[in-house]
Parts: sequence; structure tokens; C-alpha cells
Amino acid sequence: MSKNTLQDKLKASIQSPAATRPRTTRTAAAKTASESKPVEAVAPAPAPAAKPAKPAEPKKIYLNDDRVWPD
Amino acid sequence: MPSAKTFALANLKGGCGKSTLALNLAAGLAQRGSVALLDADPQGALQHWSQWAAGDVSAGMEVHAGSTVERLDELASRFDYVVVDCPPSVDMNITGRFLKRVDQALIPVLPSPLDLWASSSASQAIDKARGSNPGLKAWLLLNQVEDKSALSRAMSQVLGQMPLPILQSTVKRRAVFRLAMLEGKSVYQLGPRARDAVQEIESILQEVL
Ligand SMILES: Nc1ncnc2c1ncn2[C@@H]1O[C@H](COP(=O)(O)OP(=O)(O)OP(=O)(O)O)[C@@H](O)[C@H]1O
Ligand SMILES: [Mg+2]
Repeated sequence: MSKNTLQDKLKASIQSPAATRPRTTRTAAAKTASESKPVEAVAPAPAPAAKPAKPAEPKKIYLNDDRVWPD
Repeated sequence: MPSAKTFALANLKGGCGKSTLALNLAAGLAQRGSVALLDADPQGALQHWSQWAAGDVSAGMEVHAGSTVERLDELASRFDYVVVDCPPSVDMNITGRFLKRVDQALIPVLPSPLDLWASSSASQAIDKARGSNPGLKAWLLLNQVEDKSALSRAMSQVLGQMPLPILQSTVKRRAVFRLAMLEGKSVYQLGPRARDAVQEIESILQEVL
């Protein structure tokens, strides 16, 4: 990202983000070579596996605490 | 009647370098006159540091605790300089009280959008304080700058266009600022390895004195 773009974005971010945050998603072609990283490098962490419907082991219930703590 | 030059390191944003800069600026001022470093933060970081430092605290500098302007006035009557390390919390409005009393406020800002956004509320706090302290001088001070970071450079440019003026001097992210704490010292007492850090603190002092 060029220096100006960073500066512009910082400046815009001071205002109400909803009003000013650029909404356009740039196409891959618009990105500079240095920005075009492999998808793996910027991809968000994979979502955690879905929780099992039932825990495999019995839950421990602590006194005065309705949370269930793992071992 | 207070006679000292008084400075507050203030920003309700936590972790921006208030305590680190307060102690090192105080150490620099200690080379010019007597200094009281007033730890107004209930977290007590600088009190902890001074106990750890024991006898090593710069000659000419004393560390005191207190969060009242009466304490500030009392110190200002006995020392040439008072540097106040303000807390990040809005509880009890400690920072607001000191801003109404000190000569100068230095507002450390990290080169990050979160800190940029918070600097707007710092600016409002300064405006408010000027209602009863019209002579209050206030500067933003970019801390923990990373040389090679485009964001650090952009932040420096953008902060330059904020309502509060920004000091020309900046402070880089340097291990010696952390090491000095661990050794119970300021960067002034670390010898050649802290030469650049000392130069940065000196440059700030030249701008504000
Ligand atoms: N220029 C610097 N280079 C390297 N480390 C720094 C620098 N400035 C501050 N730090 C480190 O950043 C952390 C936060 O600094 P410090 O505690 O001084 O901030 P603060 O504004 O006083 O925080 P708080 O709001 O909690 O009082 C500390 O670990 C400190 O050692
Ligand atoms: Mg602090």
C-alpha cells in the first residue's frame, strides 16, 4: 500500500468509520505486486471446528460458579 | 506559589509510554536542576521502579507519589521541575485535575490507529483544561516509532495535521528503554549503549524548555 493510501486511510479513520471507510473492494489486478501475497499468507485462521453437541466427558461443576471449566 | 516548570505525561490511552517517558525526561531534567517525579498513577509503576532502583535514581531527582494538585503545588515550591506521570484511567479525573495545573502536557502516542483515534479525546481533554488553564501548552509525542514501518511514517504525517501540535522529536522503540527499567535506572545511566535513546530525550527537552 502506498504511503499516501496509508495516510488517507488513517485520516479517514479518524472520522466516523461507518461514514468514511472505503467500501470498494479492490480487485486483485489493482493490487501492487508487493501486496499480492499468496492467499495462505493473509487468509484468516480457519474457523474452529464446530463444538460437539455433547461433551465426551462429564463436566465438572464448581461451587458458586455456573460456568463449566475444562480440566 | 509554585515556581517550578511543571510537565504532565498524560493520555487516557494506556500503555503509550507515559511512565517510561516521564522517568527518562525527569532524568534529563535532573541534569539541569532539581526534579520531582510525581507518580500520580495508582498503578504505582514509578514508585515500584524507584524502590527497585534504591540509591540509583539520578542525583537531583526524587520520586514522590500523589494524585492531588496540592501535592503538585507543594513539590513545585521546592523543586526546579516537576514531572507528573498521569494514570490512564478516567477514575477520579486525576489527569483532568493535573492538566488544569501544569505548564505543559506531553501526550505520548503510539504509531497505531487505536492511538490515533484516542488522540482526539486527548485533544478534547486539553481544550477542557484550557478553560481554567489558558496557558497550558500541549504536544503529541510519537513514541515507539519503528524505523522501517510505513505505518509509523504515515502516523507521523497524519498526527502532524491533528489539532494538537506534534513534537518534531520522536522516540523509537528501543530495548534500552525497557532495560533501563529493569536495571533501576534511566537511559542516562546506561552508558554508550543508550546514547541514541538519550539523544532522543534530550531532543524533546530542547523543544519543550
Ligand atoms: N520507546 C520505547 N521503546 C521500547 N519500549 C517502550 C518504549 N516506550 C514504552 N515502552 C514499553 O511499553 C510498555 C508501556 O509503556 P509505559 O508503561 O511507559 O506506558 P504507560 O502509558 O505509562 O502505561 P499505563 O497507561 O499503563 O500507565 C512498557 O512495557 C514499556 O517498557
Ligand atoms: Mg504508566
